[in-house]
Amino acid sequence: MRRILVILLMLSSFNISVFAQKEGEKAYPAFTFGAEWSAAADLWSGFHYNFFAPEGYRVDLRGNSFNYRNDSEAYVHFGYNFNENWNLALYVGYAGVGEMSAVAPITLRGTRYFGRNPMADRWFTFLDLGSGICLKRPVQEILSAKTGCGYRLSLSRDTKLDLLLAARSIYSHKNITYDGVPIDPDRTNRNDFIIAGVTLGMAVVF
Amino acid sequence: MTPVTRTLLLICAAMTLCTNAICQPKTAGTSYSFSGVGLTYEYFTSDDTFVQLQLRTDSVKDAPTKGNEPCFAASATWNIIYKDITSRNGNVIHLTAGPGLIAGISDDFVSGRGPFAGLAGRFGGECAFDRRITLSITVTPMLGVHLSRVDDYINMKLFRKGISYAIMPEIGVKYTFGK
Repeated sequence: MRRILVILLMLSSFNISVFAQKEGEKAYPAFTFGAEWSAAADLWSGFHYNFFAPEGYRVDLRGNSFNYRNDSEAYVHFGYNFNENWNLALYVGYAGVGEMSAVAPITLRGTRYFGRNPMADRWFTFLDLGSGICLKRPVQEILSAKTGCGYRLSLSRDTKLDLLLAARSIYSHKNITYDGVPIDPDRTNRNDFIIAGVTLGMAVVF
Repeated sequence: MTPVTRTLLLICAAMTLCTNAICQPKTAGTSYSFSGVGLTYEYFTSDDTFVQLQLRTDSVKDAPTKGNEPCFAASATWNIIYKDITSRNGNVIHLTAGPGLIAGISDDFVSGRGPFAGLAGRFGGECAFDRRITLSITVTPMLGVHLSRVDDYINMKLFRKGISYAIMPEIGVKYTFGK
């Protein structure tokens, strides 16, 4: 009987699979890096323009509308894990923004992971704020904000696969035309354009 | 048969039961690149060779901006695992390469929308994790021809996107089954 128990014990030892972890090593890396890509659905846009028309008079236009447009975005990021629940990372990317020129956001993202075990699958939420540039002539600054949640699949100690759902908002500047005539930026007093939508994406984090 | 012999035989039988039955794995998933997204399917023909089938969309103009006319490409490549690299965490990264064929409908930098076809080379690496998830990164340069209509003529030119887009890596996320 004892012999059978020993054999059963040896049987069970062949079937254990564990994530390899060296003694004294944390369950998560201190520094992180990776790539993220998302499909974006732009749903709402608002604008406020104030400029001098070619005829010389001042024009003030403002409005907003709901209209759907699909876009995409891609980022690379470098970050630091403060502990098993908090991460701060710098994101640099390239994003399509509705009918405007593409933008290159540079943002800081704070992520909060739920649960105590960094080796397990878990939910997370994040807030992403920053600026960047609008890729048109003349190059102008943009503001970017994004917040959302996601689910992290833990593939190994150093490799994670994130599924993300977020709401994003980008403030930028559009090329203004009036009666089909492009308005020179020197004749523009105000050029505000905001576009908002949702994104669905994936990220690989090392 | 002595008790010791019987025990040793039982241990040997138990070890063979612990071995997974050998069957060729298959993976299916999606691929993402700056130039488009696609669906992929791989099946192993032996321990170190596999065939990859892919159907992808390419954006006509600047990806990933604006909603453009989608273009499509289908490819089949035969790949060899020529080197394995073991990471410090024990994950095995397979370096792969292989030739194949690609055909589809797209525009080119100097031509309008039309069919294209040619030879492709696929180079990259992939890592299969215990979670049955495989991550891969590859580049696929292509040498082919592109047909487009100019007035009443059919124009055939070198497909330049196949060469210039080759430097854009493609990230694949796949699920492994049948292993």
